[in-house]
Amino acid sequence: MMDPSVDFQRRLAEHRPWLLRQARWRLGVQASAAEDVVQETLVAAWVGVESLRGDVTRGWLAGILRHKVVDHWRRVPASDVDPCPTCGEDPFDETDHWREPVADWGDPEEALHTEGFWKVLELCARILPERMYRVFVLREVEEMDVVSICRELSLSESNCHVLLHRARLRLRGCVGEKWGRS
Amino acid sequence: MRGREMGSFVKQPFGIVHCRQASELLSRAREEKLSPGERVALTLHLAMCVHCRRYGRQIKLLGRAFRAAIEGSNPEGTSGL
Repeated sequence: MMDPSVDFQRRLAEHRPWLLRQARWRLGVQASAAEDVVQETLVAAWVGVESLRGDVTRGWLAGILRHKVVDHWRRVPASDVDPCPTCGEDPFDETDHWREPVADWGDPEEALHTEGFWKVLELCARILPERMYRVFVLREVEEMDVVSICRELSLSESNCHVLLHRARLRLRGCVGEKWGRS
Repeated sequence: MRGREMGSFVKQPFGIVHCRQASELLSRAREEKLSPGERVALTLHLAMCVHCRRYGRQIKLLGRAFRAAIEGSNPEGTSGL
């Protein structure tokens, strides 16, 4: 029988900074809720220690965090405040062509291994309105299908598609502006 | 046809899409299978348009990057948020 000792608490606490980063990425513009969500995650981990076989792993904690973020979303409705109203401008002209050329980002592998790219991504994650970001995360990170996302967030299917499309346009525009080169 | 839900697709004559509609199709193709007509229209557009080809690659990369960031596997993650 494992003794949920001080040692276990200490080991949990060591993962706190990492969990906070994960929570902030998941929450986007609502990153200020990360502290609370991580606190709930650590409490749940503490309670769940008996079901844990072996050591505390990031994978185990990340699984708890995922659920806590979804719980948080269920509790706190998405705000419709747009953190960047000018970012929502139509990127296409009246003839339906791109207003600005879509710049080349170079080699994707290189981008993913460049610190600058992650910094830009981090900034750009914060310019998405909350509902848009939630839909994007559930789709691209959790890989949920659109029907399940609609059910989870009480959206119509067409609204879901529109939000995903806008999220991508906005993220790409933001990253492109700061990262792309022509 | 599913395309009508996105608004502008059906405003174009069949088979001809511009960047606005192509970007909608590229996005929706990440969620579900496009209709044969939509696929033809998109393929034709992409053959001619480097901007939309880049757009398609970039939204794919963004999906990958967020997955890596959130799953904590990004190499630079320690300096993240």
